[in-house]
Amino acid sequence: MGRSPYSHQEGANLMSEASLSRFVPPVFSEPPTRKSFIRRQPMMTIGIATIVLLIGFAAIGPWFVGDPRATFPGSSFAPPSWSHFFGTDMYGRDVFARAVNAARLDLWLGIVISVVATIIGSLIGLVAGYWGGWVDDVVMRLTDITLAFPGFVLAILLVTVLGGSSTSVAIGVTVSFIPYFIRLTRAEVLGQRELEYVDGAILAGNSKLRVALRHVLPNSLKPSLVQATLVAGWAITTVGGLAFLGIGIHPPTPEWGVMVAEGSNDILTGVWWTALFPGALIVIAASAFQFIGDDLGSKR
Amino acid sequence: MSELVVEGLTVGIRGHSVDLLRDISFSVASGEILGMVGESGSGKTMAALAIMGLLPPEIELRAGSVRIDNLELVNQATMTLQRSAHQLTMIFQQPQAALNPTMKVGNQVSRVLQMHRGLSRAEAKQRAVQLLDRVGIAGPDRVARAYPHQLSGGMCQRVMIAIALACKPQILLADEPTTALDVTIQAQVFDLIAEVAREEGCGVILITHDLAAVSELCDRVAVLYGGQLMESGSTRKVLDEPRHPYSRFLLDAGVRQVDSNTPELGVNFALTGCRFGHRCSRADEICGTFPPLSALTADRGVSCHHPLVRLEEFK
Amino acid sequence: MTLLEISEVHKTHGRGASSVPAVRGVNLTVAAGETVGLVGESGCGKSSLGRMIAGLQEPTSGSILFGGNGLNETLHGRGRRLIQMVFQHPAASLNPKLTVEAMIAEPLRLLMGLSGDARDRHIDELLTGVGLDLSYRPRRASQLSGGQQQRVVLARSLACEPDLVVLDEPTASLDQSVRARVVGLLREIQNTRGVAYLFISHDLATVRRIADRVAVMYLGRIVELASTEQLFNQPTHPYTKALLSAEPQLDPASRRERIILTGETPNPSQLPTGCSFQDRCPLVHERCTKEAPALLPVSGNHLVECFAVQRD
Repeated sequence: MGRSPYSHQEGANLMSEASLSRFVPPVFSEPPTRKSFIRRQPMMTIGIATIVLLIGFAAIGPWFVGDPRATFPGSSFAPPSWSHFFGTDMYGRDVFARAVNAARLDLWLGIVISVVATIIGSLIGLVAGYWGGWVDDVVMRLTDITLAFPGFVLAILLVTVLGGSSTSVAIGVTVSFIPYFIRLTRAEVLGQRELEYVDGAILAGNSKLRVALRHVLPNSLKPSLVQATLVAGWAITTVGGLAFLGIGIHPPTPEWGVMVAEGSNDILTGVWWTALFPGALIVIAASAFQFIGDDLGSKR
Repeated sequence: MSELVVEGLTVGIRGHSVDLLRDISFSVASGEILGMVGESGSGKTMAALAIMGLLPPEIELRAGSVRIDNLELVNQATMTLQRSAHQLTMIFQQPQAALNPTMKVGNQVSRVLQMHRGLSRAEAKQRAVQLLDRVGIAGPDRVARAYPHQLSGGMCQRVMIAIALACKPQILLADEPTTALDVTIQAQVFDLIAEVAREEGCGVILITHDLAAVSELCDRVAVLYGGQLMESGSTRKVLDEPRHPYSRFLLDAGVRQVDSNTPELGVNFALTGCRFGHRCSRADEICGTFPPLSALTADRGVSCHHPLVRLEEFK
Repeated sequence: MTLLEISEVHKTHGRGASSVPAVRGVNLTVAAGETVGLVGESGCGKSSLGRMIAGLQEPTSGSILFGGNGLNETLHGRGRRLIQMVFQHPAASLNPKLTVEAMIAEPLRLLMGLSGDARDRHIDELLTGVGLDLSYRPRRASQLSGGQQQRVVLARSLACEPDLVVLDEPTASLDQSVRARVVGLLREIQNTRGVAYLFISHDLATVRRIADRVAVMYLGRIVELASTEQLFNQPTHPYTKALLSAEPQLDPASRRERIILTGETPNPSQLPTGCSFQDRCPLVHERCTKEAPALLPVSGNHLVECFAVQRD
């Protein structure tokens, strides 16, 4: 009698490849051809691999490389070699050691900023979208005002006001990203709110608060999570950019942006390695997050 | 006297061996209304799109012939279908969504007249108002100046019919035209379709899941399930004395609401044999091979290895 | 025993110039264990009424009493279990992230105070009761068919042992062959548990099979109220007659003479003085344009809101 019949299965792979759900109900029973994760999402794989590598470097690297502030007298501006992978800078410090230590700060900042902005922004967006009324109006107007400032400029303002330190940088950059999450989550919540399962949750005995947190929010986070990965990348470039301008994080703290700032003058004298390597690392880290975010966004 | 003959229509997703439609054959004569009945996933909409040449790019026509007045529409070499609006037109399920929201309704009708009938702008405008009147719209010049969102669902559906009629089609396909409408409006639209078939002499294919509507409106009916044509014939014969177990099941479970032991399983497109095989109480080994459409009488066909002979047989 | 008493309930959406009256003075009772069918076309207010009864929306005016007490009072805290509601779209009625198990466990936990083994047993019983295999427990909504989804919704609604379930077009999104099964299931449940139903639908054939009494709504008011048999055999209000005649019948013998209503349902925010049906009614006369009729008995428990009929 042909192959053994299934009772209701999702031919999810097939459905996403051809948008046929209006013709074929989700009971398509050809076994899904499972391409490996890597082949289906090559960019995300590269991105994840890169971030994992960088985190690895950041986590254990500092124990293996020397003190980032240690100077090697007499060997300032030494080009890359086997003893100094990225060469040395003006003060004779090993650029590689500094870069690896800087990775800790940059990656940490990138991830923390992204996570905190997502959490705060999503919660505010949930409140605005679910409760509506004047709360929504107030939140949206404040969000609009915040978004009227170019993000980077806003970050500069906030960091300057809060004083220079990595904490104030973290806070300033986080605040500049929160409005995106407010908007994204609110938009999803507005849509989800109309679905019958929300009424169902009330009928099942949940208080309005529980309905919002337990039912609506989890179903409204998808776009925010995609945005979070992208924001991690942007946060790194923003932090680096601020440091380059001398705002927030200052030398001698090893941080990629600081290193680029210090090294930018060196190029004039033909010393390319002090600026290139930290700059390249900013680009690599930010791009890796972008790759992850792009694939996450396009898949679902 | 025009006639649409569809033979052996087979359709599937590119790159996958499974057929979404298997060997569908039917015909419609002018002035006749054929009902195409099936539940969701039966392939009835797919069949309509295949005949219209409107299949989405992921779906390919694998076999079949579509002839109007013996003129073959399918290019057998490239497996593509070319048709003119004068041959076949279609109206859809959601009337408001099927009309252009940024264009006045009258213009949508006159555009079609200009494009397909070569009328001048002034002539087309006049004829458009006539057509709107023809489909029973009160105050047609006023309605012609309205936008789709200003009209009710019933009115929009009438406009769609007017657009379809503008091309003086030989065959009109109506894909669940009243599902989104209230029952009293539904009655009006069905009456209009029947009138159109009679007076314009076009053949109508009415795609629906509503057996009662088929009973009232259609001269002949084709029953589809899982992309397979299960049974076809005159409406009264098929509805009063169904020969296919699936037809019987549909009639019992649907309108008559008599319970049977048929398991509630989904369509299994992987079955190489009869697509109802995994649910049919009469199925056995031979049902693993595809049952060809056998003609019981001149106008009656069943695709089944064990068709029903007596009413009581189906348990 | 009267369970639900609706008196002069009005519901207006929006404010001021853009306000739309959805329900305009409805009176209805539902007795324990009975099924009242509520039929009408789009815009008649049946869904709004259903939501108000389920406590999901507040009426603009009028009162809804449940077991003699106000609705808000009744549904407070654990009382929420007494009235439940089932909606038209089964897929949207289930949280896509929760398993079948979790969805049914929720009301058991919150409204019945059950936990652990007792709760698990109840979940099993409920699933079996709606005809679902226990292996479906870990599934999510996307892994179920429409019919199965609706059964899960039913299991969930019944989990807290309500006295009344409002069903708003529960079978409209289901395939025809599945519809009958679900309706059969509803009747079985009613026989076992004695729960009352308010069955809102535009599908007259289904209503006929399940309802004890039927109310026909038009533009926010009940125009006819009778026992199922009376309504289908002796429809009295001209709208009811048109509605019944418009429904396609499979069996030629049961077809009624078609009464075609002219025009379409008027805009609810621009209703004429007098009877709201006057523009489309085949029996309209002068009085209809001046006064609005009231819902009055024409015989026993058969109530109709129409001057032409009441005069007789």
